Parts: sequence; structure tokens; C-alpha cells
Amino acid sequence: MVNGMVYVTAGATRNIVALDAASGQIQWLWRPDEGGRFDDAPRKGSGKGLTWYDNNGQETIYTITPGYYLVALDARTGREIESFGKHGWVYLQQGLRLGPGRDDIDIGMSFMPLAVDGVVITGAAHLVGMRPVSASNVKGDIRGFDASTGELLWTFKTIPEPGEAGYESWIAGADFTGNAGVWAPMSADQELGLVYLPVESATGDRYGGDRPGNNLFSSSTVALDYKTGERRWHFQSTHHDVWDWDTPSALFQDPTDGTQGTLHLPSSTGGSNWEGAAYDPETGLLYVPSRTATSVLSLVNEPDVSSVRYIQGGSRTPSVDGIPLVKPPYGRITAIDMNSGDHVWQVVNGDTPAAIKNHPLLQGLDIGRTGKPTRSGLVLTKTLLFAGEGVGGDPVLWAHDKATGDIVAKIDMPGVVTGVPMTYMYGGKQYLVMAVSPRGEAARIVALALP
Amino acid sequence: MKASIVVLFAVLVGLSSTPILAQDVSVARGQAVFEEECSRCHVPVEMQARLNARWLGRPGAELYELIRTTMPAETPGSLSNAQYMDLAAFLMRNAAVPVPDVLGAEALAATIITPAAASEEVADEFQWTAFNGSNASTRYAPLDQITADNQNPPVSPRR
Repeated sequence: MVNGMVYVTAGATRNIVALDAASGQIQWLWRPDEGGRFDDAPRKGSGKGLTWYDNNGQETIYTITPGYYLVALDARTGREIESFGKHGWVYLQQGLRLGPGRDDIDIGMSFMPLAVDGVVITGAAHLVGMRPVSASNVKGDIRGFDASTGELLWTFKTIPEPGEAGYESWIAGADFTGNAGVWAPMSADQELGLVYLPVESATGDRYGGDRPGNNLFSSSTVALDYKTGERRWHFQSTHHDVWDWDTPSALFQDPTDGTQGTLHLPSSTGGSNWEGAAYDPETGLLYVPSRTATSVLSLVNEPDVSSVRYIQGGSRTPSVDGIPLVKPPYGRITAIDMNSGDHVWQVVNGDTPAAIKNHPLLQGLDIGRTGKPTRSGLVLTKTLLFAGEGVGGDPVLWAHDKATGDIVAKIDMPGVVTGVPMTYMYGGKQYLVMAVSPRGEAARIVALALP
Repeated sequence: MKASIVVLFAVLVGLSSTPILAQDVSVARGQAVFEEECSRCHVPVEMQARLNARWLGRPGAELYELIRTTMPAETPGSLSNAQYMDLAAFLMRNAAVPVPDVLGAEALAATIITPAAASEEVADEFQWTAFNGSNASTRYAPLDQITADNQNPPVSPRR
């Protein structure tokens, strides 16, 4: 919410809608028409956000379309800004380093770009890399554009070229390997002039036989000077990643051998994910939502599907008649003191799913409240921590005492809170605004406030 | 009574310098009239949008005159002039124009339609400028209007 307007993305073509911050009335709607490029896009859908930026008095909305264009809109009117790129559009598919032998462009983006100090920075999201059709793919370069003109200012190569720093970590070279994009939200520090990139794994989430070495700068956090694109530092959290534990994931426990493959905990989508965490600058506490779910790691050779020697097999996650193999909680929120690293508190997120609660094998047992293995979006205020349950959860918004974790309210919602909530103050009134998805119905934007 | 108000407004619109006796106009009465007479076709949020789109900078007298001569659509002018004035006051308040609960007709007619929100201090406002709150991505807002104490219905804290 900025200057009385709430901006949201909506619909499969990722329309942008401006709403009155007090009444919810639609102020304008922008709908891109990308034709065939939309049909071919690897990351369709309503997206996970947009970017508002005050460009020297010109309030601007930046969005990345499903077809991978960067578009600048006038935030007050919803009209494309003529002086930016070509009539408001910059074609992000140009200038990419394509994978040899690939004529399709497996790249898009469902998150928004980041705008800071006159620079708009774009990430790159590929198709999920569990079963890549080829070890060759387009590289996920990160680029900075002039916020006013759309001119390309710099490119940071997450997979370096021969002779550049990091190339030595590709023992067999990095000519054909792709991915290593940034699909999750970036953040920036204006005092240091840095943008922080959470870089994903290189091509092949499960099999790295074609890319021996540590594979810099995949599965790393990289800090760039956002004016020049020069790398200041990096930290690789997983060398030679074949776990798909790219940077938004956090927790780790030892994998355990299973019968059909290797049980993977947390799974690639377990632990924490794109919903991120909330940080309290006044107390130094970090609030992290996470889920515990296993998946089976297995490799299969399927020449009909892929030219890569091994890709992820289709094994089902084993369970005991629907009961997960791991003990609950399946979903939780942890408050961590960032000064000491201590866990200040940890609470279960979500009530026990009906299928567990009413399970015949568990009758007579007290297993406590299990929570759900869903992705919970958090928002933090002066005293409260609000948490939705995410896809697969119940249609409720929980309010916790942020000091103790105690639940102080269970707010019934018209649908599951699938997005991450925001809160703002407008006209002297505090609002909580979020997207909810009632089962089988169109998503809605819901605002809560005191009567 | 009715005639005297017509005269009063004729005088106002005619920019006469003659002092006029205060006539009480009420926002609350205007709301009741709106709900009774207008709400079958209009909702407050729509009227707010209309005022913001087309009426900024214009005086209350013009708004009164338009409503009086065109509404209700089936029978324009069928309400009392006092009711039309109350309506104008309610619609202006509804669009965040700083109109007191009760004011004189002269004051209402002279009030320029300018939403107060734009000129209010920043303390009344906290913006959420990016997906994660800001580029620092903390998802934190220092707001405390909604607290554990003002929920409805109240519940006991639990785990």
C-alpha cells in the first residue's frame, strides 16, 4: 500500500490491479496480452507480487509478465510509461545466454523485480529442474536496468564465463549448464549499496554428473553492488547442489535410507521457502515459518524424456496409511534471537488435519496438535505476529503474541490465506490485507480492520 | 421555512455580502436521508469516488444544487431543501472532506471539497511499499491499532 492505493496481481495473465486502500474499489486495471509468448511461458499464473518505486516523483509499478517482459506502469493511472524501453516494455528474453542445442527459452519469473536507487533488477525462474529435458539450458543471468529508460546497465553471470572468478569451480566447464537463476524475492541495503541474490541450483536438481565441481555461484547468497553489478561477496550454502536446497530453504536433518530411494528431510519444498520470514528490528528476533515433509530422492534413466543420464524418478512418498513417517509438528513457527542464535520459542502452526485427527490407527492416542505441512505467510506488528496457513491449510488467520508465541486470536477467513499478508495504516486506520483462495472459487483480496 | 432556505441559497450562490442567519445542517441526518432515499441506487463508496474524481476544488453549494435539481432521479426536487443540505454535508464527510457534525448552511455552501486525508500528518499513515514490506524485507510494521486486547470475541491465549 502506497499513497492510498493497494496494488495486486490477478489472473493467469498477471494483470495489475490498483485498489483504493480504504474501500477496496478498483482504481485501474492493466492486462498484458502476450499472445504466443504467454502460451510458451514456463512460469504462468498470477505471480507473487509487483514493485512500486518512486522514480524522482514518477510513481512507477514494475512487473515481470509471464512471457518475461519487464513493464513499467504509471502507478496513478495504470498506463505504460512511454519513455521506458519500447512503449513501457523491455524484452527480457534478449541477451540471454541460451543452452547449446536448445531453441526454446525455458525462462520466466513469478516474483517481482527489485527497484532501488534508479536501478531495476530482474531475476530468472526456469521450469522446476527435477526432470530436466537436457543438461543444456539457458543461464539465469541477473540484470540491472535504468529505472527511467529501461536501458540495460549490467549483467551478473551467476554461472561465470571462462577466465572469470568462480569458473574454476566448474571442473568440466560450464558451457552448457544453465539455471542458477534467482526466482525468489531479492532484498537490498541502500546504505551499503548492495542487493542480495538468493541463487538457485544449476541445471539438474537431482543429478550433477554433468557438472562436477562446486558450481559457483549456484545455491549461494551473492551480494552485488547494485549500481555496477559487481560482486562484493558470496556464500555458497550447498556445494554442488543435488538436493534442490537452494537458498530460500533452511533447516537440515540427516537423510535416512528408504526402500525406494532416499528419504529427503526436509524435502526440496520443505523447511522454509519463498514466503520468507519476518524480522523485528526493535528486538532482533527472526520469525521463521517452516514445514516438515519428506520426499523420495530417486534417479531414473528415461531417454524418452531427457537427454540427461539420470533425472528424478516418480516415486511416491511412503506413509503409514496416510500418516507421515516423521513425527509432528508438520508445520511450525520458530522465533530466533539473531544476537545469540537461541530459539526463543517455537509453536505449532495450524490445527491437526482431519485426516490425522480422525485416523483409525491413531484413536485413543494423544499426539497433540500437529499443525500442517503448509507454507505460512507472516506479518509482524508492534505486539502481534499474524500467520496464515497457506495452500492445503484451513481458512484461518492466526494472531500470536510475538513475545511468547501464544495464540491470541483465530480469525475465520473466507478462504485459505495463500499469499503473504501486508499491514498498513491509512486515514488513521490499520488494515491487514491478504489474498485468500476459497476452494474451487476465484481468489479474493480481503481487508481486515477494527470496526 | 422551505422558501426561506431557497432564498438563503439564492443569496449565497449570488455571492451577496448580506449576513445570513445560521441554518443547522447535520451530517447524521444526511446519512439517514441517504439510506432512506438514495441507497436504492447508490452506495457511499461510489459517491466518494465520484467526488474525488470530479468535485475536488468545488464548493458545497454546487454539490447541493446538483443534488437538489437532479435527485432522486424519478422525482427531482421532491425532498426538502434542508434534506438536500444534510445530504450534501453527508456526502462531503463521506469523501473525507473535513465537515463538522453540525454546521451552518453558509459554512457548508462555502466549504471547498478537498479530502482531509491528503493533508493529514504522516503519523496517520504507514505504507507497505514492497512485497516484503520494503527492500529490507523484514515484513515488520510498527503498528499497534490492532492488538490482542481489541479483538472480538476475546479469547484466552493458548498454544
